[in-house]
Amino acid sequence: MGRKALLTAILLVIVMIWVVPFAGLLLTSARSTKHANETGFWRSIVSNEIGYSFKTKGSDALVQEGDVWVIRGNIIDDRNAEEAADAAEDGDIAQPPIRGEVVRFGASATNPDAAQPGETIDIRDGNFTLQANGDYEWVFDEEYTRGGKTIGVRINHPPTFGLQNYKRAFADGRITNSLINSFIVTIPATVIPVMIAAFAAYAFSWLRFPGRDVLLAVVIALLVVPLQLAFIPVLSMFTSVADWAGDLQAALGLCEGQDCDVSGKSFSGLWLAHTAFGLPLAIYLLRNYIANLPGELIESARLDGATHLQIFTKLVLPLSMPALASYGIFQFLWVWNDLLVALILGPSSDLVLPIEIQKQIGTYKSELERLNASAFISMVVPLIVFISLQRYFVRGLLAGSVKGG
Amino acid sequence: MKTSLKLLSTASVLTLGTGIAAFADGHADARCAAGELGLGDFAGQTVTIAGPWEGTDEELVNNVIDCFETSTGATVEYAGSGEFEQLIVTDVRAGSAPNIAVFPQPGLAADLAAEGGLVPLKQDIAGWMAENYGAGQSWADLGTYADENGQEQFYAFAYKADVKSLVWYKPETFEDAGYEVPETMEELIALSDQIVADGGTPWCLGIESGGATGWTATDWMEDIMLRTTSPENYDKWVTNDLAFNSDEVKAAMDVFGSIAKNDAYVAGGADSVASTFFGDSPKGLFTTPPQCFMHRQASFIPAFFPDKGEEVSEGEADFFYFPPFASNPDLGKPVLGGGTLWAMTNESDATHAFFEFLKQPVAHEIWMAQTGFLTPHKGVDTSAYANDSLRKMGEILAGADTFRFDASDLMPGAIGAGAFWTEMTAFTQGQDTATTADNIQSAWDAIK
Repeated sequence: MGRKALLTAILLVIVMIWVVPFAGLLLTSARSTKHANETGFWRSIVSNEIGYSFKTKGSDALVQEGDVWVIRGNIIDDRNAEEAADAAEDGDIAQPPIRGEVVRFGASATNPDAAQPGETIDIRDGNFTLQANGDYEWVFDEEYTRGGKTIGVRINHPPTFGLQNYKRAFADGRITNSLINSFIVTIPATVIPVMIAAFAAYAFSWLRFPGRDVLLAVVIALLVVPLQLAFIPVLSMFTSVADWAGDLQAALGLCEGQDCDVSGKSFSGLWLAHTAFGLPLAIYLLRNYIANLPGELIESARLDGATHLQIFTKLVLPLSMPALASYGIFQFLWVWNDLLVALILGPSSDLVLPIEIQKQIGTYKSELERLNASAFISMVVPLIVFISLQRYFVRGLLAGSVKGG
Repeated sequence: MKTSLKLLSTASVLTLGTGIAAFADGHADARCAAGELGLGDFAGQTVTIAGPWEGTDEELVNNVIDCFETSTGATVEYAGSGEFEQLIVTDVRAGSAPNIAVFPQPGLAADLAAEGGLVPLKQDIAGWMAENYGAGQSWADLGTYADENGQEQFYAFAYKADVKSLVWYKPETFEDAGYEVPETMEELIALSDQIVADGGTPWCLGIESGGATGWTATDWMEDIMLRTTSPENYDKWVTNDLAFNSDEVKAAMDVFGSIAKNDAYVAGGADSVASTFFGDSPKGLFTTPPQCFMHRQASFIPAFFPDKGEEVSEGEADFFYFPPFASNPDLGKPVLGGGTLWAMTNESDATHAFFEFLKQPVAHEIWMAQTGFLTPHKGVDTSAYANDSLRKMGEILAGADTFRFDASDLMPGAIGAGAFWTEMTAFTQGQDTATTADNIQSAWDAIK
């Protein structure tokens, strides 16, 4: 009983470690920039008092009423209207409008706590009164000639969520393009190594040929080769292949006054690199599984006259689905989330999602609110892949762990 | 995005009357029409450029590139990456370098030149730059490095500059409190004390920047060095002919310490300096109530303001020149800055033509009319600047008595991107001046 409770507690902690940042990202991505800057995501579901600086109208809104001059307006509505007009003019997506009630206000941004709504304070020799709903009245004895004045206001803001960050992320089409690019890179880079590794694993398990064990040891030893070491040689190899291709095109006269340069950085380079780097683990995992399929099955199939290809396609492949699927998930996640390989070996014009997301926040990494939304978009795809394949995954994790399993 | 569009449309209105053709909506200047710039015809050729700008900035540089494309018929592909420094090294070593690489710092360009990874530019460009740039010789020197045989060659064309000696503030907050923009460092200190006496906090200061934590502090140090000792000493300091633990350097460090280590001076207290992200610290100017009144940072910082710099074009935020000490009148008005350096990593005729293009005023004016671009080019029409604030920065740059490049970018990597950063971070966390200076000097001795 005690052990079970402890286990549950530990699991709960682990789940929290994963879920809290996820919820934080989701909540933050749906908040306005101002709110996200000023309060933590955990406060997004309650009302918050947030300080704003509002500019009042200036002398051009002045009206004479009897022997006084008055400027009237509503700080909240005026600001919302201005923001909406700005966004419409720039073709940009507006932040959610400001809502809520004035709690306190003051004559300058430095001092937002001077007065309660309904009270009157002195601003530039005028009597300024601000109501809780944002209506203000600014009364002068003499004609006022200056522009607006910035006042500090604390507003109690109810929870506000909006899709503006997602709309902005998708607005220029680059995220959509890179989503497609990511699929173009990830799907072949997952399918190719799984296919090759399945063949290789079958051969290592059920074919007898000289040097089999040594070869297998060599393949497994390749697991320890660090990816980073290989970048420069691999890239220079791709570049020389691309140069040959360019020269060949030139020799065949295919360029028609264009440069015959072919870039060494391409999608096919990414497929090759991911396949090569994924294969050792794939072969190792799949061989352990396939080697443990019941020998009697394979033997009897062979007695019935089945060729190796028939045994592989009709018997081994269907039986290995759990192992194939779980390795597929690994490889998919790895390629989908990969930034480094795509950055160095991938094409510099057609970018995959992680690179595009990184670029979105700008040279000075100053547009984090965009990052929140697009990072969430990039997380959704692996989640779908994982959830739809997870029943294989759980079985596949045990692949090869039990003799005959 | 929002900002740049707004600036663009303003720019087109401003420039119509001054003889510069309207530049808006991505339509290039009339001077960019085919053949107009006399650069030659490169139809069918491709020039590839790799640089550090991404996101919004990428659109800005592409507008300049469009002009070259229209004029010559060449295709230019710009690829920006935040990991530019790492990528360009890999690309150069693997033989897959682009035609042009845009270096944010001279140190890396010098390293690649020494490996033989850069192609020297035509020698006359160096002479042209000395003549046509404000403080021209220092810009030309900035692009001159030793090649793999140890021979000095001219490699890198400085295009797009930053001014670092700026203090950002909100004019209306100053007005409300009755503060004046200080003209001397003494006044600046007095103003800081006044703000403290009035119950406020004068400075927002954050130096956290991931692996580069501390660079903001080194900028402060460099700016103060230029205001407390001669430019010649500054140059000696860059090459370590003036030791890091000499009295001149320690005096500058003490001045910085009197601000950064003063709990009453910095928002959040001195302890928070090392842990506040440099891009978050200016946001304190804009909170209600403000966390601080002033922020010293380079010309790029409005990108981090809550409205991405729109505050500046709307007059809500402004800057003043980080003033010199009245007690050192012979040092004049020194300016600290930085800039990007364009070098050739893969030679072609069209690429040479691109460098010819960068000499022309139009290549500067197109970006000036957008945002985030300053140029020391003396031949440009300053009315092309998109707004008064940029023009004011441009004038600070052009009118500098002394211009010096960011010292930490010029020092060897182990110091300028290593010990100097980490020790200044330790300094803000309470390490004393002598230890800090000694530690950096011994790190330098170790690499000699």
